[in-house]
Amino acid sequence: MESILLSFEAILNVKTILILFIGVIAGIIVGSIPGFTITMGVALTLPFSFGMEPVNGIALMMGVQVGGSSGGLITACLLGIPGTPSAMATTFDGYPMVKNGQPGKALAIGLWSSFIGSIISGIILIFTAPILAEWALEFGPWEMFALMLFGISAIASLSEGSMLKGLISGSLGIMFALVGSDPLTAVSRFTFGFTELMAGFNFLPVLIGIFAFSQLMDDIRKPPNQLTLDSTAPISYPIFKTIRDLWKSGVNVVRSSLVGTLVGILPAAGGSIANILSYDIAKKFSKQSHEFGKGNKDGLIAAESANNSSIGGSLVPMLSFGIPGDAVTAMMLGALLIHGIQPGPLLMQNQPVLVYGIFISFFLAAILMLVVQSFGIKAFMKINQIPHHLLVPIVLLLCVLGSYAVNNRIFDVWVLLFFGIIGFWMKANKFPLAPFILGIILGPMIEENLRQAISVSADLSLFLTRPLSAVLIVLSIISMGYGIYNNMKNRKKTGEDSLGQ
Amino acid sequence: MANAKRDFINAIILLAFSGFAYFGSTQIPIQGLGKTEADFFPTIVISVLAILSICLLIISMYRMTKEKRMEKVAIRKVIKRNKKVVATFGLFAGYVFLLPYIGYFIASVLFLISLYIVLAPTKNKLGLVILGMIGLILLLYVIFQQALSVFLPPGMFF
Repeated sequence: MESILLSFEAILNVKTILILFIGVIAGIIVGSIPGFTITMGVALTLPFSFGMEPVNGIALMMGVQVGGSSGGLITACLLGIPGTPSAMATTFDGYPMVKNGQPGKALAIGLWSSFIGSIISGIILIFTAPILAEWALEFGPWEMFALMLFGISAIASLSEGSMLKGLISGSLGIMFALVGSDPLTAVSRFTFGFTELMAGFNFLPVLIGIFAFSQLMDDIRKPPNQLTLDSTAPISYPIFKTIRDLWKSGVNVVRSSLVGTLVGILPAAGGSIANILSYDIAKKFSKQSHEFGKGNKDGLIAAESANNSSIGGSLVPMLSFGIPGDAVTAMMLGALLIHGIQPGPLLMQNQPVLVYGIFISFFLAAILMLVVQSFGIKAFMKINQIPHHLLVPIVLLLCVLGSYAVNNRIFDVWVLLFFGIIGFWMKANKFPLAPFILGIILGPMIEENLRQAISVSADLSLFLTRPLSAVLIVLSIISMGYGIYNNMKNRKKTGEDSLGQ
Repeated sequence: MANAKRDFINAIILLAFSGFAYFGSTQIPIQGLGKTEADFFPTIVISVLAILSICLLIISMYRMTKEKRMEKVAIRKVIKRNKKVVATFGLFAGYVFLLPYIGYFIASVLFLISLYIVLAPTKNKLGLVILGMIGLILLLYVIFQQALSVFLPPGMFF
């Protein structure tokens, strides 16, 4: 109880609320610009979080994530172009609603659905994360190793594209994480004479390079559609009517939020899957399924409540096991490491103020997102129209400053360029990026647990005879089997061998 | 959709990387301190990466025999098609190289303006854009130097 009160004290002050507010605005801007992603937004805000208290740094990123997830709604509804991949299904009914002359209604319903989705998943997060963390305290190195292996294999198998490329991406990430001193013997590995690499690659330039830099290069290669929004169009819709509409679709709101949260908890399955899956479920359950795709509010509600609720879900494995559910939470984990905080089951015990602070900032971010977007939608529509050739150089400059700021050395900016090239090569050749980041973050932990397990007992069969470890290893195999099945299905669809795509 | 030939090249690159990493792992000193040495885990990861790369190589070769129409991968054409990307990488590398010599302010102004010229389809209101960029560079300087205590590279001038 004392921790909760201390967390409120840490969050409910002008400075933190202002940081959250800035984060939400930055998130909405990033989320509403097609071609820019939430992951990129979080990567770019990371450098600003160094000088802050850990709870403020995480609050900033939480603001970006929540804001970004709902920011995609603006262009999805008004232009039929999802601002972020997690707003794909939002276009199915949001855009037709706008074309039917109801832009205000579409934005208001989408916004409130995002808000309610966030709140529901936040409540689930509060109740499940501490229970799971307590359970995880009983894990030995065998279980932790198997859990992390499951995290990487699931994200590699389930992420978009080929499973083989997902696994290669994850292995590459682990490989780069091995650069630097060995955690147990302090012997240097793969430094090739660079003293700057003795402590390994710093997370920040790696994250910015892989996600932000490569994304910008991809935008230069394939420029996203330039927006032509009519910022004079009436977009107001009374709040009481919005609440009434949502009340009538109460079951859909709750069901979609639950689906979103559950999908978020699963490794690899983030907002984009939640958004489409929830839309599909809502369509199947609806008595007016034939109206879906023509501007049905239930389709919009399902899509928007699910993508925002997946954020709360993705925080569950991060806070309870120290395993990120997706690329954005992987970055938050990286941020905790930069601040010297070791994520994992002990986090809840050792840093309760920080963990409850994360919960509170999540709710506050949702409230701020609602307020900011309700009043500032016209401004965001205008920001959207800034041409990409003006934005790209500015964001690249931010990438440089962010990387330099870690250690005040140019070497890290070269690291940014190096990983930017790797990220661009991976993107251009359809290697998913999320497993790479998970590999970078989890690599050292996997190694530590594996070697710890072997130093306790050289008997490798313990990984299969300890029940939970065995279950997790079986789950890893199942997820890979599912990946192969999925690839085969796609191959039948496309008529090509997508295993090697 | 990436074609088989591209994946074949990717597999070769990955195998070469695995070989390079293996060479790196042989340079790791052995201490004889515990049950596992510092090269224990890297060896596992390199092996996994090499096996996966071989899988990609085999699958791509199989697909190459199946694909009737194969797109030719001509490096010159790829560079021509992505000339803006190549120019951006080049400008960026030049910027990072010059940063410690001419300092944050001048290097950033040169980088932003040259990149804008490369990327913008028309150069309308160039003066205004330059002014805006200089303003932004100064603003970021103040934020990083004053608020975040990050001392940006001064260079030989200031």
